[in-house]
Amino acid sequence: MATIVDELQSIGHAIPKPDAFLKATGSATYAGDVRLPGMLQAKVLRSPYPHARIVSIDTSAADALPGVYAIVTGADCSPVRIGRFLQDRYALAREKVIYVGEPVAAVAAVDEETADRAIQLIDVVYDPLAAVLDPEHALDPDQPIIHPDLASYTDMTPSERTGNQRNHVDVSSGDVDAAWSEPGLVTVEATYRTPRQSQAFTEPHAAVAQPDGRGKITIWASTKAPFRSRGSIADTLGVPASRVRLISPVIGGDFGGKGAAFIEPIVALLARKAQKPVRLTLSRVEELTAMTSRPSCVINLKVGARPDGTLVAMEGHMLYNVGAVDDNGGGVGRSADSLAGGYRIPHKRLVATSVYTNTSPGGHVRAPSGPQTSFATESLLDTLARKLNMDPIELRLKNALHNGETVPSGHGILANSGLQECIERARDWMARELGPKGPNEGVGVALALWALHPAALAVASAATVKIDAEGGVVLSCGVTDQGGGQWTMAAQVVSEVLGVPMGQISVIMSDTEATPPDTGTGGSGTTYRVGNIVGFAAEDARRQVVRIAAERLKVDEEELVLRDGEVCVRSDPSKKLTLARVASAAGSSPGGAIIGTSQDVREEYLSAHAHELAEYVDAPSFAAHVAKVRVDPETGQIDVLKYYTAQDVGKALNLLNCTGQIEGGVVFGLGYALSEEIITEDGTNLNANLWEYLLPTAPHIPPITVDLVEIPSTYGPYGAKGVGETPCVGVAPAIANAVEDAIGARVTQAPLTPERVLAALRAKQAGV
Amino acid sequence: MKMPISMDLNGRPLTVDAEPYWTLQHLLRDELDLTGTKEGCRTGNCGVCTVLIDGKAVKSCLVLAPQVAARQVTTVEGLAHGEELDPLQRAFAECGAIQCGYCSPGFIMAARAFLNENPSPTRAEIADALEGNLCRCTGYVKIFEAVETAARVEAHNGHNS
Repeated sequence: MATIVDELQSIGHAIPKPDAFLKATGSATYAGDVRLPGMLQAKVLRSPYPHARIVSIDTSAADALPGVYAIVTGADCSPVRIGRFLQDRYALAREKVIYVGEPVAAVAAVDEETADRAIQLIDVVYDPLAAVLDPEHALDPDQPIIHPDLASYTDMTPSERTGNQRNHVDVSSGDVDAAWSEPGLVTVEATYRTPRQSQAFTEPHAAVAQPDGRGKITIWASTKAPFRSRGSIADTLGVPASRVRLISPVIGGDFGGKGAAFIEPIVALLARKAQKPVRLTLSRVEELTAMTSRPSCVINLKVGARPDGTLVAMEGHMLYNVGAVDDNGGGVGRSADSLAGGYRIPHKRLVATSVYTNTSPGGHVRAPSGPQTSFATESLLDTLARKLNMDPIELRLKNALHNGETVPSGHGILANSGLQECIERARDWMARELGPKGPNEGVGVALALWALHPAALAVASAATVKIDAEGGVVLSCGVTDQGGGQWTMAAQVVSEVLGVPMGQISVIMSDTEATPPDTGTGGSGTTYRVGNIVGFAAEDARRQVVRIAAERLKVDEEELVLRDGEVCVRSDPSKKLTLARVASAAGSSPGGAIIGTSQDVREEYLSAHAHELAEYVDAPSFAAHVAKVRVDPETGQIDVLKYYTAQDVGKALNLLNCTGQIEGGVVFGLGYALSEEIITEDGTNLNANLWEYLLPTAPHIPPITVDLVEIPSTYGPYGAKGVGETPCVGVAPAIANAVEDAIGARVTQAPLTPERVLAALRAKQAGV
Repeated sequence: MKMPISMDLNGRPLTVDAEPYWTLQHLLRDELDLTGTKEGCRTGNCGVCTVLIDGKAVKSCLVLAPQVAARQVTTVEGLAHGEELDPLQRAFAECGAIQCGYCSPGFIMAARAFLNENPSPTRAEIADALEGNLCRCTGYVKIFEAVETAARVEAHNGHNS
């Protein structure tokens, strides 16, 4: 008699994304693809000034243009500031503009050309004001204040806001001042500069709004956080959030840039005024001029070690430029501790200040603060290794945190860490695969990590799993899939728990009315929390299935196994019922259904471990990076020859998605390292297009080796940890370290453009 | 003023009235509702709007509607034969070459034109052929693998399109 052996059927395999087939055929509907009868096209009029008082807005000529249905300005908005963390902006400017590209008015017209003409007919009189343009002088007493009422703004997290200071965070431990005077201490110090980076998703922001004639508006938008953004839209309209339904269809990439309501309130205002459906799709110029980007950063960093390489002290001062409005949690500054990376440093003072300037908004970009801090720390550790005449890998191994040690923020104790294994695997790979170095070739290593926060940060979500009388399984969950594969992951978990093939599972996601709520995708925490919540809902359904089937089959519940859409007796699989049959037995008419639910990870499952989770960093996301480069000493051009990363993912739930996230993250990091930089002059972004803002392209991709380390987390689904952000964190320092190895010159400003490489080489040759 | 334009679109003859200043991208997306052809920059830099004109990969944002008169235009919607996907569509989905998917139709069309010319390419040739298409999610690695896989499948099936 056949007996069933328990083995993971879906989790851990290379499962193609079900939605990939929709996307490959062109039938996936993104927000900008939504077509409604009578739909109008919208355009936004944006500020040409970095800082100016709005004297008057005359829309009469635009209003008279045939084909124009609605014009909105700040006067049409409820006078409430919005923002996903700090509420520091209006959907449309009121009284003054504070950055070039800030929305001032918007038009809905019968077609795009008419909307464009109408925009040009709106007459805005500005009175230009002195602008804050240099972040390093933003706090000087002679600078104008961008947000005079800053202290009264609503912020999700406490922050030190005053003048043009968005936040100020000081993470100190030990006695750093005394530590510097330790006899024999070897110290190194440098200043690093990092660029503004665009998320540069291929799908520009888009939204379609449809009024229902009774004061309610439905919006399809490229948002990864519909349940949060709904509030901003409702606040702008001056209606309760229940009057706004926000649906997130297929999203064309996010990387941090689609979590806040920028265009949705505008399109909703227009639809309400026109009482017709309205669509707005941003141009690439608008994306790169007026939307958020990774804050640039200036970092002064000093580190001291004993001659044997033991790190003793670190002092770091970071200055983030968050632009005129800040879409970063805590102004990024709360991440000051990431300067200490995954290292044991007893004495440290890590200070982060973020400042407002009259430039385009700062916001989240894949691993907020990670690439900035790691560029400084991992570059400086290489300089230290050189000075100590120590192998850079040995220096890192010696100081890397072990399980049971407190993380640099002081907020938790490290558990389930794969850091050492990542470093050791990188060392082995280098010995095995790197080969000899040719002329002007070099090798660099760097460690990377993302968000050493205790797992209790796993924030709220909810899910339902329905098994219907036809055997179909429908998962409903509020989370969005911006391309990271959340839809697939969630279906895989259901497939695993219920023993149902992937093809039988439908997923309904991210609709503020049709699905349970969710805080939104991001922070490399989605698999951790949503994987759990979906699993609990599936287990709830499973318990119901087993109870009914045990009665029908007259066996103990423990005897039953679910697989291939059936529930059968473990020791005699010929005794079985289909899930459809069980579901039809569950209800009355018609058909019947089994509905499993779960709400809030913390309450349902983790409450028993609340203390532990508040204390332990259960799912640390660590990686080691190795780059081999060749530098042309004549042109400064860097060619990346090989790239390797070992990353601890806990458990790869889907091999395709997991390695895909890491490969994509590395290339995202290569862009940051080599070419991506929004260049701003007098408050205007000069390279607001894709021929001057340079993204990595196919011919420049080195062979990338992804080495998965799997040290399971305790509470992640099947042991999984976050994956998506860490891979882009360590790339720039790995490249900079490789460049120094190749040509002996240190570049301290990212991206490492040919000009900067040549300048560093000349400075070295001149003995500077 | 609108003018009638006759073309072959996805294997069927079509006459449509178009303004002479409309781009092919606009004609496809906003007049014919063929939204598989995407819109990412309108300057020819991202490649998400790539379609085939007489078998050549072209960025439809850089072509005016009247230029396709009497031409054969193929969009991503015209690639599959009924329920049978083009080998490239299947390989992109199965190799993990699709994450957010917004660039995928453009990549698949560019790769289609390329494989028709060069059915057994090296990886370097694939990378060069796809230089005009941006992908922000995958890091291109699995896209290369998908094109290689499709080329192998077509060689095995004696594909000749």
